[in-house]
Order: sequence, then C-alpha cells, then structure tokens
Amino acid sequence: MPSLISPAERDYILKGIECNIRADGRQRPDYREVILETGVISQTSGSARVRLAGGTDVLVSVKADIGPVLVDPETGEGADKGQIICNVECAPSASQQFEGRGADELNNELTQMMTRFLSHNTTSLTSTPSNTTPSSTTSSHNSNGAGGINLSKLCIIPGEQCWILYVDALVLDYGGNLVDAVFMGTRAAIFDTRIPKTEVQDLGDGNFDFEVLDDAEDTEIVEGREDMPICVTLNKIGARHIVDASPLEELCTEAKLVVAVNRSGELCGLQKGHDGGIEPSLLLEMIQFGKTLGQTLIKQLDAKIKAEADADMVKRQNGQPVVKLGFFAQ
Amino acid sequence: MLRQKAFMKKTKSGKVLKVVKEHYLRDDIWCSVETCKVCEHTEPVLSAVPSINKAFRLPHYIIPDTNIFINQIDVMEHPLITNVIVLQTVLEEVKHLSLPIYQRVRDMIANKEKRFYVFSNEHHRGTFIEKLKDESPNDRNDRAIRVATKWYANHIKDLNPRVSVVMMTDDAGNRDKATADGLQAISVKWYIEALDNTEILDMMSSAKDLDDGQKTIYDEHLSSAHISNGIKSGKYLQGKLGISSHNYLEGSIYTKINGEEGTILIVGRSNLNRAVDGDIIAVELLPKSEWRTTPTGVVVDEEEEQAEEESLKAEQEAAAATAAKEDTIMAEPEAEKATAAVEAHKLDTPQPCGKVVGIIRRNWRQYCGFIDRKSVHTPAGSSAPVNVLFYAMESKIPKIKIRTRQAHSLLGKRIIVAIDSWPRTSRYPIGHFIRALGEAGDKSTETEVLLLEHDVPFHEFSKQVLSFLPVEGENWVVQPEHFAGREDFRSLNVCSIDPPGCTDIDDALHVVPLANGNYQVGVHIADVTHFVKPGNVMDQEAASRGTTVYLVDKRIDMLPSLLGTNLCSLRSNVERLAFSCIWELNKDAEIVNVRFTKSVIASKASLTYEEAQNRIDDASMQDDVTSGIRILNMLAKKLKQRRLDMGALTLASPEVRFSLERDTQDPVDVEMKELKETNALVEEFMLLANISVARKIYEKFPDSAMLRCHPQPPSANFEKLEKAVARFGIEIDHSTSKTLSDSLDSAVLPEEPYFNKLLRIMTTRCMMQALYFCSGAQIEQEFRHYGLATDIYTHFTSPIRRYSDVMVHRQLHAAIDSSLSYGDELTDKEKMNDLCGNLNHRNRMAQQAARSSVELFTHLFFKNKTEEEEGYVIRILKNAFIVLVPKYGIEGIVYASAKVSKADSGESATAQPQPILVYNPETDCLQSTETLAEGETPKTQVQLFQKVMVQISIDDDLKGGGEGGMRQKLKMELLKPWIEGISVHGIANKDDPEAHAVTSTKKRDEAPVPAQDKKRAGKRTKA
Repeated sequence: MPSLISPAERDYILKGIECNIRADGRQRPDYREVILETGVISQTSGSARVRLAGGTDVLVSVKADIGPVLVDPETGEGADKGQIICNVECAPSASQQFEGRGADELNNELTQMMTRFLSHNTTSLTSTPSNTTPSSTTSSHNSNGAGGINLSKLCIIPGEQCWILYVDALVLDYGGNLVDAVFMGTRAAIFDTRIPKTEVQDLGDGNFDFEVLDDAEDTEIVEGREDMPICVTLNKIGARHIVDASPLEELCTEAKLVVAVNRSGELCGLQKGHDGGIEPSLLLEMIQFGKTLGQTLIKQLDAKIKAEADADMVKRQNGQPVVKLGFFAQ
Repeated sequence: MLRQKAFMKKTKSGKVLKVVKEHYLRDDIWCSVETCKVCEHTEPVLSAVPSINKAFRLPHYIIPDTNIFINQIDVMEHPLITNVIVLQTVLEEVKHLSLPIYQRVRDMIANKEKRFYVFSNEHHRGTFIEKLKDESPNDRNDRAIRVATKWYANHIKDLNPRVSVVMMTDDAGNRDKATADGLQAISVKWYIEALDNTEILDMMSSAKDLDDGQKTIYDEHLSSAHISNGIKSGKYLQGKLGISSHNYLEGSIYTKINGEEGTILIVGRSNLNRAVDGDIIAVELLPKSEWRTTPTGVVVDEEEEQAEEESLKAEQEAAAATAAKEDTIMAEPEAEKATAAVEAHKLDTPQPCGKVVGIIRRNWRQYCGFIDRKSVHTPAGSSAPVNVLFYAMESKIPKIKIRTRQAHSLLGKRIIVAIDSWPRTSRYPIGHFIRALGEAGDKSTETEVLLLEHDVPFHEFSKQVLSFLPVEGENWVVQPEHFAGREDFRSLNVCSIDPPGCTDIDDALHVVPLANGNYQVGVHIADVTHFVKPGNVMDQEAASRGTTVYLVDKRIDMLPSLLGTNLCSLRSNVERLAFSCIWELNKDAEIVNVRFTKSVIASKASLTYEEAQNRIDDASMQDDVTSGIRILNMLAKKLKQRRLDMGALTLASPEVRFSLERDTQDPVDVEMKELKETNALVEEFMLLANISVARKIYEKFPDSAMLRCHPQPPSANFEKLEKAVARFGIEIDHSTSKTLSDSLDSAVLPEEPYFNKLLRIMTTRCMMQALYFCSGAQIEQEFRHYGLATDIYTHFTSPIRRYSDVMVHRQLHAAIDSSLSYGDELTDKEKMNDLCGNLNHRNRMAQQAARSSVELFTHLFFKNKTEEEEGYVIRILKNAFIVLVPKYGIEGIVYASAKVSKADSGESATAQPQPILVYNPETDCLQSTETLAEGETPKTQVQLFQKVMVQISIDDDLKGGGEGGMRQKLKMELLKPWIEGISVHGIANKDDPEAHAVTSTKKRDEAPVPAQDKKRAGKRTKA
C-alpha cells in the first residue's frame, strides 16, 4: 500500500469519481466482489474469512470461554450478562505500514469501534450517537441494545459465571475498506458460532456449579445474531462519496463516515474520520445512503451464510464429511 | 483421507476447551481371519473355524458391544469365549468408562489363546462413519458397531470353510436394528445359555434380575458435584472407610474435623448407606445428640439373617413351584437387630458420628468366601438358578447376593465373587460368581484364599522377569572384572548367623581388633542391586511385590530364587558380591568412624543362632571366627544397653512357630521361637548399619531419601490401658519412649509373672505402624523412630526380601560413588512417595497374610481337639470380651450374652440373647446386672488383665451351617470364673492338660522392637 499519492494520481481518481467511474471500473456505490467462507478454523467456536476482490483479507474467529461476570460497581448492572471482547489486529505482512508498531493505532481504532458497535454497554456508547436512532424504529428486538446480541443469554450462573465471546479479527491482507470487511466477517463468524450447552447444578447453600456438555453437536447459537449491525464506510472524495474504497481512493479521502446499521435499518453507530468536513445536507444523504446499502448488504450476506450452513447441514445429515476450502481457496 | 473430530472439554480450572483431532482413514487395515486371502495380514488372530454355538448355524466370530465388556467381563474372560473381534469404538468406550476393565480387556487381547482381535474400525475407510446430525454419541457408536459388523459379514461371506459374524449386545433396540440390516445379533444371556455350561452361566452378571426390591432401603447418594462442593465448604468430610473387624455394620473414617484430626464413627446399615470397606466416602456429621461412645459391640446378627433367609427361601420355593420368572416377596421384618446390639451407651466423651452421603470411589474387588448353606433351599442336584447369599472371608464385607445354578456343588467350597452393584432397593450388594478355588479347610485352598485376600502377588515369575537373570545361571561366579570399584574382603573372617534352614542369607559380619585397641567391625549385605538394575522388568516386578511374604508353610519370594537363595545369598565358602558398612568402634562400642563400600567377600561360616551360641559358650573353641563372634557379642551387649538407655522399647507379641510334618505339612506341634544372645548380636549390628546408612543417604538425598519412621502413638491409644493398670497401682507414662520403657520395666506383679509380658503385648497394640516415607515429604522432627529411639532410620540390611532395601542400596551407592550416574528414580520425590505408599501397603498385607497363615495352622492344629487353657482378658467389648491364650498365642471372643441353645434357635427367630453381663463404662469392665448399692462391687465382673480359664475348640458350623466348616472360627468358652449362662462345663479331658507334652510351649520372652522392625523375629520361618 502506498502511503503517498502523487498529485496526478489524485487528480485522476478525483475526476473519475466525479464522472462516476473509478479506477477499477466500478461506479460510486459499487462494492467489490465479496468472497466469504465460514467455519474455516475448526478449533474455534465460530470463524469466517472475508475477502474483497483485489486485496483485503480478514479472518475472524469467535471463541467462547468461561469467565466471571463483570458487574458495574455503581449501577450493579451486568450480573446477569455475558460479555463480548473484541480485538482487531493487522498482520504486519498485510501492508508495509503495519510493520513494527505501524498498525498499533489502526488496531486500537478498529478494536474500539467493534467493541462499541457490538457490545451494548451503554457507558461505552455515550460517545456514539445511539440516541440518534429514530424513535419510530425502536422495536422489541432493540432491547438487546445497539449490538443486537442478547448478552443475558450468555450468562450461565447469574452473579458468577458467564460466557465470554472473544471476537478476534486478523487482517491478513490490506486492500482498502478494512472496517466493512471486518464487520462482515464478524457477522458471518457469529452466525457460525456454536456455544456448548451447559447444565447448571444446584449444590445447595446457594452454591451452583455447571457442567459443559461435551457433545460438539449439542450446542446453542448466539441469540440476537440477526440484529448485529454491519458497517458501511463512505468516503467523501471531492463533492461525492463512494463506498468500498481501494487503498489509493482512501488516500484521496477528505472525510470518512462509518455507518453501522442493522437489518431493520436502525442506525447503530456513526463515526466520522479524517480531517475534512461534511456539509450537513451531504451528511444526511450519506447516512441515508449507507443505511439503505447496509440493509441490502445484510440481506445478501445472510442469504449466503444461510446457503452455506444449509449445504453443510445436508452433508451432515447424510453422514458426509463437511470439507471447507479454508486456506486452500483461491 | 483426513477427517476431523471435535469435542468440548471443561478443564479443572474451569476453562472450556474445544479439542479438535485429525483423523486419518486408511485402506490397509486387515480383517485378520486366517483363511482370508484378500487381506495382507501376516499373523492372523482369528482362527479359520471359530466358535460354535448351537444358536447359530455357522461357526462365527463374536463382535461384542461396550456394555458386554463393562457388565460381563468375567464371562468374556472365560476360556470358552474365543475368536472375538474387539472394535476400536468399543475399546475406546471401555477405556473411557472403566480403566480396570480396559486393562483386563487388554490382557485378553495380549493372550494368544483367547484370539481377541482389535479391529480399528474408526480408521478403516469402509467402516468409519460420521456422526449424524441430532444423533447421540451412543447411537453413533452403536451404528459404528453395526457398520463394522456388516463390513465383516460381507468381507468373510465367501470364505471356505464358511463362517459368519455375530454381534453381541444386550440392547434390544440395537439388536432389532442389526436384524433389520440382515445381521446376526444375540444377547449374552441367550448366547451363554446355548453353550450349556453352568459355570459360565453363573459368571453372568445379572444385577437387574437380582434387584428384586419394590422397597427402597437406602437413601440416595448425592451427585459427585454436590459432594465435591460439600467437601469444599466443609459440610461433608471425606475419608477412606475402615469397617470394624468385629462388626460389619460399624465403620469409621479418619479425617480432619474442623481442622483437627479425628475419627468419625459410622454405625448401622442405613448410616453406612451401601459403603463397603475401603471405599472413599463423603460423610455428613450427625447432630451431637446422636453421637455415641465406644466400645464396639459384636454383631449378633442371627435374627437378621433369619429374616433374609426366610425371604430367600420364599423366593426359591416360589421359583421351584412356578418355574417362571419369580416374583419375589421381600419379607422385611424389623431386622435391625445388629444395630440394636450396638446401641449407644452414654460416656463422658461421645465420639463424632456420621452418615454416608455419597461414595467418591468404590473399592470393590473380587472377594474370596463361601455360600451360606442356610440360604440354599432347593433340593440337592437341582440346577435351577437360585439366589443365594455369599459370605466373604473378610468379615468386614457384607454378605453378597449372587445367582447360581450350581449352588449345591459350590457348598463347602471356597469361591471368588465380584460385586456388580448395590441398588437402593437391595439390602445386600449384588454380585456374580467368578470361580471356585477348592474345598474349604483344605490347606492349599485356604492358603490361596489368604494370599488372594491380602492382595499378595503369588504368580510364578514370568519369562520376561527371568530373562534378566545372569545368563550363567547357577554357574555364575565372581569374575576379575567385578572387582572394579570393589574392595577385596575375601581374606577377612566373615561369617553369617541365621535361623536354621535359612537359605536367603543377606547379611554377614566380621570384626578385626585394631592396633589402637579399637575394633573394625563390618556388616556385609548381599549386593542385590548388582543383579537388579533399575527399571527393568525384574526390578518392576520386585517393586510391585515389595517384600517377600513368609507363611507358615511357604515363602512367596520377591526376587527369583536363583538370586535370592543362590547368587545373592552370602553362603559360606563361596565368593559373593556385597555392600559393606565398615565401622571403627572403640571399646565402649562407640562409633569412631564409618565408611561404606561395595566389596567381594567369602564367608567363612554360615552358622545358626544355636551354633553361634555354642561357639561362644564352648571355651575350647579358639579359632578366628569364634573369637570374632565373642568380640561382636561383647560389643552388641554394649550397643543394646546404650539403646535401651536412650529409651528403645522392649515390646512383645504372642508369636508361635509350628513344626510341620515332613510330608503332609500338617502342623504337629506348636513350639517356641528360640531366642539366644546371638539373635540380639546380629540385630544390634543391623540396627547400627541401618542408622548409619540412613544418615548417609539423607545427607546425599535430602529430598528423596527412603527412610522409615515410627510415629509416637497418640495418648488416646493408651487411655484404656492406663485405666486398667491403675487398678494394680501401676502408671504408664508414654510421653516419650524412654518413660514408657521405664514404666514397662517397673510394671511387675510378683504374684502374676506373666503380667509384664501381657502388658508389653498390649502396649505393642497401642503403637502406631512404622512406615516408609520419602524424606522430602515430612519435616525432620517426624523422621523419628519411636520404638527404636533413634532420630533417623531406614532399611538397608535385607535387600533380598525387601524392596525398600534395594532402593536404599541404590541411594547409598550413589552417595558414595560420585561418578555414578543414576536416573530420577532416586531423586524424584513424587515417585519415591508413591513407591513408599506401595511398600507400606505390601508390608502391611504381608504381615497380615503371615498372621492369617498362623491362624490357619492354629485351626488345623486344633481340628478335632478341645483344649482347656489359661488365658487373659485383653479387651472389653460392649457385649463380649477377648481372651488371649499365651500358650498358643491365640485370641478369641467370649460372648457375654446367653447362648440361645441350638434347638431353640433353629425354630424361632424371636429368641433374643439375654445379656448376662453389661458394660460399665466407668470401670471399663463387664459386670453382672444386679443393682448395686453405693460402693459395692458387683458379684461377678470381667475386667482387663483378668485371668480366666477357657476351653478352646474349632467352631465348625458357625455360619456355613453343617459340615465343611465354612468360616472356621476358634471357639472359646469360659470355664472359670463360673458365670451362669456364659460359662460351660469343660469336657472331661482324657489327657491331663498339664501333662500334655506336645502343647507345652514357651513364648519368646522378648521382642525388642515392634514386630515389623524386628529383623530376626518374624523373618525366616523355614520355608
């Protein structure tokens, strides 16, 4: 990834976008081809690999582990909730800039963004415009918060132990538009996640213990996974905005807007990046655009994930092995 | 082909792991059928013409499922069952469910004659199956078994001669599915019944059939999670159940109660709640109001048995009448007599009592015993299956209910039985027959029983073990190369002193006067470790055997006899390798210096104690060896005196020796174990060597030295004894071994010469067991050997018969030879600890086996004899007292309740024994029941140390009922003092007992240290 761009290149890209034609032939609102596979790492509870044609390659894994519940010392909340802990890491091999400590800042930014958009802890959401959610669209499933996932279901013994979902995204290759790819991968990985069933035993005296059923079949899905948001990143270049920017386009970006949206079109988060400003009218347009695109994206993504899961299920019912392409995929 | 397998696992720390394994499928796994030409197996296991059973047309191979192995392992081990295909699926499930059974299956697979073939179906391309969606693991495995069976059926269908496969399962659903697939399937029961072999039929575990109860008798056990949580929180206490040997309904655990070590009593059937001796159990303390006090009562359980017998009888009659599936009526009259008999007396310090809430680990094993004759009611010769009761030889084990078709032929025999289960609805555990040992009362049968019961490995040494013996065999001689690293002591006047007939001589001595007036004294110990190298099969076998076991008529060796009685044995006039301990002692027998070295010796004489004594006494003998013995004797006396001054105990135990008839090995005489000065002579130097070696190895291996300690007995052990001797104005001060030794010395009653000896015997019983331990596992203060009054001790001097000494030899060698390389077996604290645990166990078992052997010969000796003898009361129980007869070294119980005469008890179950004497907790004695005025002594009473006359005979039909003498028991009946209802009139003895020359026996007058440390005492009874 080049870190600098020549004025001529910048001009070329700028003018192209103005004419609604981008360097790789796409129009402004076009995504690149997305290649997705779930269940690529068997040791995890759920995993997915997302690639955007021509570069970005993200591997997301979800690991369900057991840990103590996290209780807010002030409000006393959280005693009956599980947790989601996110981490994004850019492999040094993904880009020259990521070598050494080069990716630290980006890692932090992405990690925090994911934590904010997925976990519905309100204290961490204060800075995000969760209150910009149109009140008209507030519906019952929104009770799970912006992140969508039903954290209460992750609690095993209230006040004591819960499931902690460790969501780790590893950026293997950089080809622009990391945020969208990471969130798509996360959605797919959470859809692939199976959490072992637990059996809580009452030991008397207010003591509880639980057993993990060792059958890899006897598992539960992550509840509320359909309501997880995905992100659409809009890059303002010149007077126009594009989606799914390539690395060079990102270098030309004046302002960046990340729109997190769920399947019912609720706005789950917004984040503006870069130095340039966005006029209020354009901002609204961009949000609206991101929302519409996001919803379509979710629909297509879900259809693909479901198709894959169904195909696997059919194989399993027939006693055939489920073979993943994994890292042999081209 | 690569597949993946995944499963979830929760680790101890509470983490959840997903384990993913790569699984490769192959196409080169063969069927192993002899006649198969397709497969490329080289050594086929399954024979061309396999098992034949009339249930099937063709000869067939058996493919059992997992539960067949788990539930019917004894059947599978029967020689009739061969040509079995053990599927990998099954083997893995068995391993997961029960390791001991897995080991037994492995043993069968290794046994070529059984023809058990492991077919790796999980790795075979044609038989591997993926788990289906929503299929339980069990269903998947059942399907895997069916698929494998099908594969075999197809694979072998064209073989000549024609054969087939049979799937064996007790799961009817699985059988139906198999039949639907066109496979042959059968249950064990049908298969075995078609074999027409009663023996194997009996071996079938039929827990479900025997569980007749509609009524639950016991409380449910808690779940293991509950228990572990309860133990963590201190609500429940964990311990190993030890059942009282006098009362199988009373047990105890030794555990920490509120931080203090203590014993919790568990009394009665329902409190014991199906726990069996040796089980690790979880106990809940009962409220203090239900705590009870000692003493222990003896179970008088006849009424209860009556009830059980009635119900069995009803069962069997019903079975005979209907010949259909019997509908058993479990008549349950109030049958808790046994617990009633031990009803509590309120003493000032009630003992904590508890009840079993759960069982953490079962300690079920196979039990030797016999069938209760009274529980068999079918006519002789009947071969219908009947439920009978089985008595284990070990009185701590409850009766076991078994089903047998050969009840009549098994009566009067010793048999082995295994427990299968103990459901809540069954009063007794349910088991099955394994094999018959032989006629009861027969010496060899009984000896086998006692070896089995004490877990003594007595099989012949395997070829593998013997392969580690020197190739030269008996012709092995000391070669010049053996001198490397050894000192040449062949010129010294070394001699050995042992009991007559001793063949495994592991020690020898020499003394040389030095120019400075001191003496050089050497103890030479057989160099066993030269032949037994660490870690080889012979070493492992010896480590597992732990010790040589000495029975009255035979010896079970720890090492093959070529080593024990020949190559290692320090016989006279042959060169032998030795490990020597050389001191310089001054005239007062104080150590000036000590060194250790490997050496070569040539003993000049192997003497018996008597010969050595004669040489000392015979002034005309002035040769070097004799004068050496005189010097040693002089030094030994000084050593002994100093040891006694330090507070070493002189204790006693009533031990006798039998002289056996040469051919039949029947006991013809009970004789004293002779003790001469020379016994003490050898012993002193052995003690000295052990102590010196202990210091040396502790210095070199501070964390892992193998040492031996003898803990100070807790004062509670002495309470009763103190109370009893206070009557004679004698005080026992047990605060140190020195004070104890002094008080024992001064405790002499002039009118009762045996009193002191008796007191010493009883003191011995207050002692703790001496134990091997690893120096890193205890603090230095606890190294102390109480009985020998030394701060450190180990065993070095008998490597031929004790494995501990072998380890000590290795450690000592490492300590003196810095260039020696050694493995972690000498330094690993954990391993050393485990080894000590095993040695302590083996040691205890060997002692008990030896004691049982003496008991067996005592019984044989008293067979058809009735003797009247003097005895002493040594223990008071709630409703009985125990009498020791010093002349024979035997003990017996005299009941303090009126005997219900046989004629009465035969009919009615209602007669209850009337207590004639009751226990008085204040004076710890039994007294007559009349009401007493203040200060008045009761008319009759029985108290500790009281001298009584008893009549000894063998009670043949105590339990087994009738001839055959099942659990033979020495019967003691009181003659004097005369107590109405208890005492009997002596049978007019034709021989005057006093003139009975055969039985005139002297006791060994003293045994200087607790039995297990007496080198000379228990050892070397002639083989």
